[in-house]
Amino acid sequence: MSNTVSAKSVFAWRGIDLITAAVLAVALGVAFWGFDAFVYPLIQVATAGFPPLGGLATGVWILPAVAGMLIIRRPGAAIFVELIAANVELTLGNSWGVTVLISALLQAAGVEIIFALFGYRRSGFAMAALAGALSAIFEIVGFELSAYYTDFSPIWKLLLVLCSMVSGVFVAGGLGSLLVRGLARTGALNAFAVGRESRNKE
Amino acid sequence: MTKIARGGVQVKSLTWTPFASPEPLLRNLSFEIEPGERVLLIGPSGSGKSTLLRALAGVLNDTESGELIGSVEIEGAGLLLQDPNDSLVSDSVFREVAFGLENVGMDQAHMANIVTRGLEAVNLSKPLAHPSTDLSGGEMQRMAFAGVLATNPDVLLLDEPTSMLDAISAAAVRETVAQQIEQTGSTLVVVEHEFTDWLPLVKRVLVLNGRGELIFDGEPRNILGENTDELKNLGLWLPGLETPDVPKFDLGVGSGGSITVLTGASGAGKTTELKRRMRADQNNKTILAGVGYLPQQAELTILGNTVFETAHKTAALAARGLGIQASHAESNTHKILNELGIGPLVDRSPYEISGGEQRRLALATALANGALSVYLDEPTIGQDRGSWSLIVGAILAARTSGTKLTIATHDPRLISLADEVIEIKAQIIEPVDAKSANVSGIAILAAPILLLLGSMRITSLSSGLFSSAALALAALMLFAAGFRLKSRKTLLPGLIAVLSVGISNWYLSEQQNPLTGLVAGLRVASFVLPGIALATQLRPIQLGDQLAQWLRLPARPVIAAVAAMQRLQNLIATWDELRFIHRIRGIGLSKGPIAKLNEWSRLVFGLLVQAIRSAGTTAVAMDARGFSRAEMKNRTWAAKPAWGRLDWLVISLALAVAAVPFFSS
Repeated sequence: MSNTVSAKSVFAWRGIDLITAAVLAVALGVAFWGFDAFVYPLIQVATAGFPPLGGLATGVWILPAVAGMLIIRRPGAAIFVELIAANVELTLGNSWGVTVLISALLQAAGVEIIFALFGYRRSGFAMAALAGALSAIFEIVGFELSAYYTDFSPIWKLLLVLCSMVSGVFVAGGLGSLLVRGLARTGALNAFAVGRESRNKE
Repeated sequence: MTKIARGGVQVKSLTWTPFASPEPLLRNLSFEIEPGERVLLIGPSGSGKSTLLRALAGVLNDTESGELIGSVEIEGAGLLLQDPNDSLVSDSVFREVAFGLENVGMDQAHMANIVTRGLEAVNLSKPLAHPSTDLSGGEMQRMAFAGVLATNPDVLLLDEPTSMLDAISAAAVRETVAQQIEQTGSTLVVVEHEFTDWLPLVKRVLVLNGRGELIFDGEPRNILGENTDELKNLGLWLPGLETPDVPKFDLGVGSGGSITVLTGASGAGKTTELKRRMRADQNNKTILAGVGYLPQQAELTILGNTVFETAHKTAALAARGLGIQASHAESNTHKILNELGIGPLVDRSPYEISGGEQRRLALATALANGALSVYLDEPTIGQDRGSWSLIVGAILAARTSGTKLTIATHDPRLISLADEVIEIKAQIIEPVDAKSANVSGIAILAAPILLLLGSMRITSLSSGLFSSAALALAALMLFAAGFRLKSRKTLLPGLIAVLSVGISNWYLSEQQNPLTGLVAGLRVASFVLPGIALATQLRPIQLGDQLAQWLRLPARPVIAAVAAMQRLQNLIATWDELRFIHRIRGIGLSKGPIAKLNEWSRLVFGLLVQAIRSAGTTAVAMDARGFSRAEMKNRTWAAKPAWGRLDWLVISLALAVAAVPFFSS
């Protein structure tokens, strides 16, 4: 008798898929809380009162969804990770209150759609970048424009969307896939497909 | 396939090869264990003892993906892990112990009884509502054991259950195990590094060698008596054997060297005291890399891509600062790495080497700086005889060279080498007051969303002002009802956000009308600020109960999320520990934005590696209590969702305030 100990269906989450996704989300929540203390004040000062440029930070909040999906690669992974990360943000204190949960759903939706289209088989930078860009559009067009920036003139609105997409591609997609590749190289992701792939390439 | 008796174990030609490893970790193992047998499983580090226990418990795929050949048959296994922190899923003793019962769908009414009996069986006299983290190491391990016993296992699988505990706590855990198997006749398979104290309890010993092969199987007295040399060569801590010879290393000769040992019960605060002394150390304040530090989680000291880079990073900085030739400093680091037996690994990734090697690497790192004082946290834990003597050799050589060493440890052999021994007494920690008025999860989430819907109608100044007034009134009523903000500062980021929205909607709008900005600011404030204030009260376990039982969200994701949120404080502690280690090593001290961003990425990476590894262990601990079993469909919950007076008040007030703009515009 021989069997391969790994996942059978993309819909059947193993215990380790759930726990890793959840812990990843909490750890990224802590990292962002550290980001607030370390780096974000600099960005806030630079973009205060000028949200179109602030859109360049959008990708940071989409990164957990991308990283979670690249690791777990199952339907719902992005939403699960992003919702928990948002909850951590809530607990530690943030600037937007409970509405971050709405943002979380939108920021994860783009990632879910892109990975579902490719049947969860493909990963890597191109996928991550597409996913990041689509999520950025959802977040800005689907929520922020109507909740926060109702009175912007059309040209500013467009600029905000474009800045966010750039950030979705490079910050969420680029840094997200770099991060996951780095983690895979340490062996921490050996229980996941992405860990196996990184071994095979070497 | 023949069905085996409950309490029996049957392993047939088991070979396990993780995908990441070129060689099998377990090779062609075959053995049977009869119901009620008591077995000790031993072997050197990396021999696959823990892996075999996980295979027996049926949770192998939680550690790594790989190829499993052969078969394991077992009925009714319960697994206890080394570190009880990994098993935590909740916030009270009751919920922890009841976890396995919930997963098999037991009726809520029976749970309190069974949990109480379980706690009695492990001699833990704490109230059911006691916080699960407010326990000493030994108490926590006994709570975890009660959680394993609650599911009534016929085979107890114990993975180094006492290795992190002081002698007295360890004895208490062993005593509990002995009582349990005496009373129930359960089968026992125990893995332990320092196994001497388990010998009176077991009747059979299995020995794995470094290649994952079963080399001996039989009565302890025969096996240990007849194969002393071979077992000693494997590095095993055989009873009655002298302390291993310590090799003489040369780190130079100087005066003023000493070894101070901090010892005391597990959980008494040895690590805290060690770090307090390190912070107060003048060498830490006056010179770069003035102190060296080996933390308990050695993996946290990893920096850079190779073993050498990790070991040398701070030494290189210090050499530059002190004007020492770079080549000289490098050869010094190489020498220390060689003496600690990791010379051949210098070009490897520090993450790829074994845990024992990482510990020696971290020790080399601490010594390579040439620091005047060095602080070591449990440097010898879990080491075989060979690596133990390398570590102790380096410690003694450092003393000879004039280094002041402070070591937190409960290793008696190491303590016997100290110049000074300080006993740390447990501090009494004030219990946190969990009884303050509390708003529960759903109310915290629902209220701001109602306010958000209401805010859509805030389109004129009058509706904005009316709504703000109503909100202020609601806040006063909540205050009167006992609601308190933990800290007023929590509202600050929200106020800044509101201001930013107001200003930008003013000068980026088409008419650039200040009134537009004011209305936008009031609108956003009406749901953002209450949301932030309420969020400070969020308790994951309460939210989880409500989401799963009222909203019928799928149980497993909710439980995983709660368990992860429970680890928030641990992860914050790891983050702080990483920053502390980096600061000690002179890394990331520059103030520029790029340097800060760099340091932040290093911290994030270190945190994530640690977090993901611990998640794997947690998954093992949870799956061993039935988290992924098919019966999860009929899962029950040990407590009903909390919902109180304050929750009703919050929801009604939110509805009322949300309605205001509809009548005032």
